[in-house]
Amino acid sequence: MPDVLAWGVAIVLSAAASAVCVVVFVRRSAPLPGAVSRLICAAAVLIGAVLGHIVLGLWPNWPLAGALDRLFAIALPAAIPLQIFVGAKTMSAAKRFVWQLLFALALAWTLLYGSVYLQGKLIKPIAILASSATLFVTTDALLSRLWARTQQATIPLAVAMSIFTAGMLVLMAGYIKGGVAAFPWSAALAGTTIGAWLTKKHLNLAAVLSIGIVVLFAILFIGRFFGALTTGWAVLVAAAPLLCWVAEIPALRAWAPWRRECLRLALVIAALLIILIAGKQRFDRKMGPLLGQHDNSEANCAHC
Amino acid sequence: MHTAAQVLIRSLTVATLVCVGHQCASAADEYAYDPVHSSVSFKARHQNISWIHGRFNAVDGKFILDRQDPTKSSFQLTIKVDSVDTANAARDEHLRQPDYFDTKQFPTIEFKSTSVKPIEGGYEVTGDFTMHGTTKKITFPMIGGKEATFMNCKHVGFSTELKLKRSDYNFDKNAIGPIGDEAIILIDCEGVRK
Repeated sequence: MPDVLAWGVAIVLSAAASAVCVVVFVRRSAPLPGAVSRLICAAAVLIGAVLGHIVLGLWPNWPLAGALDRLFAIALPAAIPLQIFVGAKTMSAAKRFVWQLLFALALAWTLLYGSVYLQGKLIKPIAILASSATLFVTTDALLSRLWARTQQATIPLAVAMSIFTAGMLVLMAGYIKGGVAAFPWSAALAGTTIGAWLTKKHLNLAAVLSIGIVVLFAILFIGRFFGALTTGWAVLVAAAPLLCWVAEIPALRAWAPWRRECLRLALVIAALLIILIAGKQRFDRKMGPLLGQHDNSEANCAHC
Repeated sequence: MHTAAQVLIRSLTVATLVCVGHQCASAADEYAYDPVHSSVSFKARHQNISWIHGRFNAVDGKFILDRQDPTKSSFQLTIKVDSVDTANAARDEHLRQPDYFDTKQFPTIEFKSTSVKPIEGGYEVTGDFTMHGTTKKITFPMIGGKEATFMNCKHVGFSTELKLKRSDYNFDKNAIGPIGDEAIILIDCEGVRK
């Protein structure tokens, strides 16, 4: 049976560990060089996520069997240094786009390796790789651009919340392990972001954002192609952080910065809540009878 | 001369019949799996209080029976895991996901025999059983082998029961609990040949 208590403990410990890492690693108040900032962010996220994995007992199988195994053993270890690399200020938008496109294609292929999707006619895998890579680089480009404009903590926080929502949807669609795998990463990303914001550390959270986008896409991709998550829900959750752009419309530029950040968060939270509620209703409808949730009214009781 | 020719013809005819008869007696017969008259079903414990039953609806295979030398017989079966059917669509969808069968990653369950030996009532079959990306050697009795002719086709039937543990085949350990680790698989199959 799903251990909801373990999930809660993993989330709290991951977030706390990442926040503590930020406080411990960054001892000065002056801005840090970009590369150091990105390394510290990545380390804080990684430490928090690994702690969450330890609590949940979530490790890749050996030999690697499923998509989740390949994600944690191959894709994420490759993604983290790459996201640190592409986050450099000296990296032009065009170069970043190319790197992220190549990475997205490699990520999708790795996750689909050995599955039915890479068998048969070539048109099917090409369509899957192309469409998922396009969605990934578009979202990454838009969110990175927004980060470059605003440098606000609400943007990586929005991605962290989307990862949690993605995990819940994948879980409620029937793939429990795939959904739970999102929780430590969501918590670690949020913990790093909140730790940096609360302690006023001059941390460039670009790496947090980039790693978050990779994890978000990976969880949604696995949920869509190996679980029972529909394409519509996957696209909605992937696009939810883009609501942060609403606060950039000219009419709202006159608002105080704190009001605009509150608006960003409120829009993303509202969208994700609507998605979660709809997902829960679908779960109750489909899986309720399997979990023993029967309608016990007299009209339905044959022996009353 | 007429008599000598007759003797020669008779001899040749008898010799030919003996040769043909000998080949018929020793030739192995290949039977294709008959999905209409066969079933592959399973049951597993639910909460340790009852059994959940299910079946696989898309199965294919063949067996080669050599009645002269049964050790040369072979059995082969391929099950499309996506065809799992437990009479509940939501549960079937759940079983197809990576917590259980992971049908997108491991679309088939396969068995290929490596040795066959005759036993009372049928054959003892040993072979490679591959499920969820893991292959293990298993041995089980295939009881049956009686042949019947129907509509110009020869049918032969076998039955067997296997006990397998999901944990032996790399299934997610967290998904073992509400549904028991051990599953009993019942195979009743007919093969057909013209």
